[in-house]
Amino acid sequence: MLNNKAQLGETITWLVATIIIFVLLFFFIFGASVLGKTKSITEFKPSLFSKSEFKEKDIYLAKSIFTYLSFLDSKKSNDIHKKLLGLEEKGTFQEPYEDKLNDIKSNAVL
Amino acid sequence: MNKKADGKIISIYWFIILVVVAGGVFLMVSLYYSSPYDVRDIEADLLSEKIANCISYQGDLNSNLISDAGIFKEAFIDHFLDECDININPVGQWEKPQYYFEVNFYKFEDSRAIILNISEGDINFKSDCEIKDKKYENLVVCSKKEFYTRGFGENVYLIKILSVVRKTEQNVK
Repeated sequence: MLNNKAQLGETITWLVATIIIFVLLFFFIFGASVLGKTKSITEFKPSLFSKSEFKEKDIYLAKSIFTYLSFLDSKKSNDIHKKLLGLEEKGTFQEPYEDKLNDIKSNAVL
Repeated sequence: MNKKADGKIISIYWFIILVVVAGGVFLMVSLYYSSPYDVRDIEADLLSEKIANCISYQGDLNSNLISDAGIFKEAFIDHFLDECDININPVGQWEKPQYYFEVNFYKFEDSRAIILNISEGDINFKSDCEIKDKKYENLVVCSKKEFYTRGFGENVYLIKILSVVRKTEQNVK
């Protein structure tokens, strides 16, 4: 009788262990399928929990700034400046306009 | 005798668990790595960048595109792909072009009226850019860029570039 109880206890232990193993396995398989969706390069992150570190250089802003700087002594520069500020408000640029302008001004030979 | 039989059963049990766990790990790895990387964003941006660099360099319009009299040169426009060294011909598994791009030129003073349009590729992709339905959002990837550039004399142009890349089968699961 005692031996039978011991055997039953052992069987239940194995049964529970098996269920836990399967539950964990399915949990991780589900996790892998969720994480394994189509990945985009622009959202590249060095690790799963870090914020995106992809920094883009805005060549279009640079081109516009070069145009603006080529009119620096003319009346048109003000208009271009206003238009560029308008584009920045619309969120067109990848970099802050004023920072890029100062950056180009300090490096460019005009 | 009975203990020996128990040991055998437990060994078989552990072997089955080992196979199940190994299969699970294999399934997890294949599920994770079977999904592709969608590089079409970068591809569309690169196409736009290539076009922008061909049209304008350091704030000035390409002198092959515009004459000293401020007239756009037909020869450059007609052979835009060759002039800009761009190849959008279908390669590999594709039979039809997988790209579309258009470049619209506007006068600085009036950013509504297009004064020059250059486009190449499959124009049907353009309408796909406007689809907001989540089911079809991966159909194409579109890149819209705009910048100002100096033309002849005091003329300034607003240039808007739209690049579209399809290649859905290669990039989306």
